[in-house]
Amino acid sequence: MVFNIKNALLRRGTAEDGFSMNVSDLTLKKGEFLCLLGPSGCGKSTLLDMLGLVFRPVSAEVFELQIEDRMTIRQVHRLGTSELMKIRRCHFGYILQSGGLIQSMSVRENIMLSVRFSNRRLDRTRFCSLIDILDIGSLLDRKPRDLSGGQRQRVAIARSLVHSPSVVLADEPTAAVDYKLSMDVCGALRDASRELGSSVVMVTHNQEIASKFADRIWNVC
Amino acid sequence: MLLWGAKTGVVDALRNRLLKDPRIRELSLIEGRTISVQWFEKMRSNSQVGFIVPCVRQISLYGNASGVEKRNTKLEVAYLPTAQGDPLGEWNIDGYLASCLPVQCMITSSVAENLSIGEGSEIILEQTRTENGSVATASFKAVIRKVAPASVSNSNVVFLPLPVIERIENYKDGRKVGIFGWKQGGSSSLEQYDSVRIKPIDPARWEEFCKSIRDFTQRMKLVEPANQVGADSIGFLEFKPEIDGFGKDAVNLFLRELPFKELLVNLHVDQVKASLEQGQGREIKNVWLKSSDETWLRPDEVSELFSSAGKPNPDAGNYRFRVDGHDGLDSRLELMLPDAPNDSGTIVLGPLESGVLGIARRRPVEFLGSRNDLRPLRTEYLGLRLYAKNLEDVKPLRIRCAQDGVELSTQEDRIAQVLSLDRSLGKLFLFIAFAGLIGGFGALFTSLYLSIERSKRQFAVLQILGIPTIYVLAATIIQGLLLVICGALVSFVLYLCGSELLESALGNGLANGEVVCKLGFSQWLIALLSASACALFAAVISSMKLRIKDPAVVARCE
Repeated sequence: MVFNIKNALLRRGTAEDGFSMNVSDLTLKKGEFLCLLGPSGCGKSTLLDMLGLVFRPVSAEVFELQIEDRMTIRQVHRLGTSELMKIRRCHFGYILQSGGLIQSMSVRENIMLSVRFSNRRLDRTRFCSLIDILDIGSLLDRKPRDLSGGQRQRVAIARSLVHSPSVVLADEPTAAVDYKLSMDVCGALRDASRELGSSVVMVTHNQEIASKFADRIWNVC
Repeated sequence: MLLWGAKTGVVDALRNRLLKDPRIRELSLIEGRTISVQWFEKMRSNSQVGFIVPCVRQISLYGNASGVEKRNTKLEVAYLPTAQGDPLGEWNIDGYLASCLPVQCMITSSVAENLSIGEGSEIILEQTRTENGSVATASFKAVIRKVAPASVSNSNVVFLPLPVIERIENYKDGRKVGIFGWKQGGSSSLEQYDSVRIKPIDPARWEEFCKSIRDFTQRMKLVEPANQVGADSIGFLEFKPEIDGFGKDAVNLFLRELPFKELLVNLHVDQVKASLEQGQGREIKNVWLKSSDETWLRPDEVSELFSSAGKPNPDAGNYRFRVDGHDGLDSRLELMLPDAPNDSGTIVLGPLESGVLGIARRRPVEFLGSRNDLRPLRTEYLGLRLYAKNLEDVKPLRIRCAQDGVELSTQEDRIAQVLSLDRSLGKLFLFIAFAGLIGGFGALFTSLYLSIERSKRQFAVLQILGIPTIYVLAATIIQGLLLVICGALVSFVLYLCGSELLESALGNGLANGEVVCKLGFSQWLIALLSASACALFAAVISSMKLRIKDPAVVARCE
């Protein structure tokens, strides 16, 4: 079990103009591809932010995280900011809607960013395998602005997986691309995560994509 | 940087030229007047005085100069007195002539060019006077110790120690100047003695002696031997009160007419208070004058003020005396003595030395026994060279001198302008520097702030990825410092181009070593460090924007 969350209360924004939700029971198994499904505004991204340790719940009865086989952290939401940041950079991978690449860096530098700050050595075999799976070998020296939407997302997937994270969190990675490209991106994400044994939590509002790629679907609403 | 360079270059050069030019601190006599030596001594201890040296009559301050090799090429030069600490040219010099022989001098570059001579070479200085209707010339050699730069004076000037200039004036006044071997032109002055002491002879002949003396001259008074003199004398002749001195001619006449050839006649100079500067420091109470050879009867002139029959003994000891003088002026004597004073304070001298002591008792003199040079020490002068210590001292010093009756002219108006200009320029450049610093800081801050604002989403992404904030902050600071370094390099190149342009446009009127734009390594370092400090400060202030409360929202929304 990677995540085990019970009765977590999430609240974002002010009291008048805010949003709150309660997560009664949510788990994520090792190597599982979980899709958070729901319409816009139902709190998918907020839930993803909580799972990504970017946003703290107001309270949680259980908030456990197993980042390695023998290491379980309880009450994760009570950890300090720097500890959460350390977990994020060492054990988590992120894919944002438009990729979230650093524009001033090349594709190679963007991918290596995760390795450099996770205090891990680069596994060249895994790096090459990932590049092959995602078919981005010819893009390594380009800048993000020179890439198409699909290429940017594939690079983001590479960056999120290159340091062998326990969990990859993807926030609607197909939102900005067409149907065919969505299938390619999600397929690439699933293949790569399975290859590396990482769990995936993906936010989407597309029922078809969720059905096709997820091991389990969690309806937010 | 160009403005700063211009400030430290041409502006400071012009400012320093004005502020450091000693001529602007000079105070000149409005009209010739006599100034006492005591006044000069008083002014030397005044803290507002930078340099002061007396000067002789204006008419004595001209002569002709020539080089040793081209003696026919003569140049009319002006003499100016100088001394230790002369602001127009620093060189080691002693005011006492005996200490600075052979004569050393400083010349202006104009003299050096006209005579093709330089430092270390010799110059011949020649002066003239009228003797019995004809022109007489006297010259001496001086070693050139320093050539003053053209900024000191464009005229042909030879700076000489004051004692040398005084001797030049003595020569022009018709006196003999022993130190340079210049003969006396006019009638010789008479040396005065107090009395004649008569050594023991047969007491039975005393009456006969006195009778002959009375017949010889009525100007002398015979003093009974038992009352006034010791056992070694039979008589003592003193002047009558109404007679001023007992001159050489009278002595010679006396000796010629004296019928008692076996008498040993000594001139007696009494009550000289002198002390040895070297040796035991004993006080001299009595000086006995001894004449033991025939030269006594044929006195030779040895100086402008003293005549003697005797020559100093070259084998005798060389003693330096200080004779208590009048009005605080002591005589400085270098006498050749066979012996130091005995226990009773009595010393037996040759006629020359005792005569000198006799003179020294009446007036301050300087005597160099080794050169037979006797010279009256001056009690007053007719001019001066006076420089205030600082620009601010000029006005109070002028007022101070006016209180003593010495009216001086100054360049106070110009000084006021220079000081005002200096203050205004200081304020102007301070304002420019302040504005530049504020502007630079503002530009850097704005640049960094906008840069962070533009990259806010990327910073949010980095925060989501868990990149430590310190790295992001470091990146911002490095960005600021890189901007500064690039800016410094660009400004350095632009500065070089701009300064070259300014140099070609404005550099013609500057002296050697002066430049329009000048920035040293330290100034560049100050500029770089100031800009870096600004960049660091601006980066830290700007990085406040890096504290993104909800990075996920920022990364998602923008």
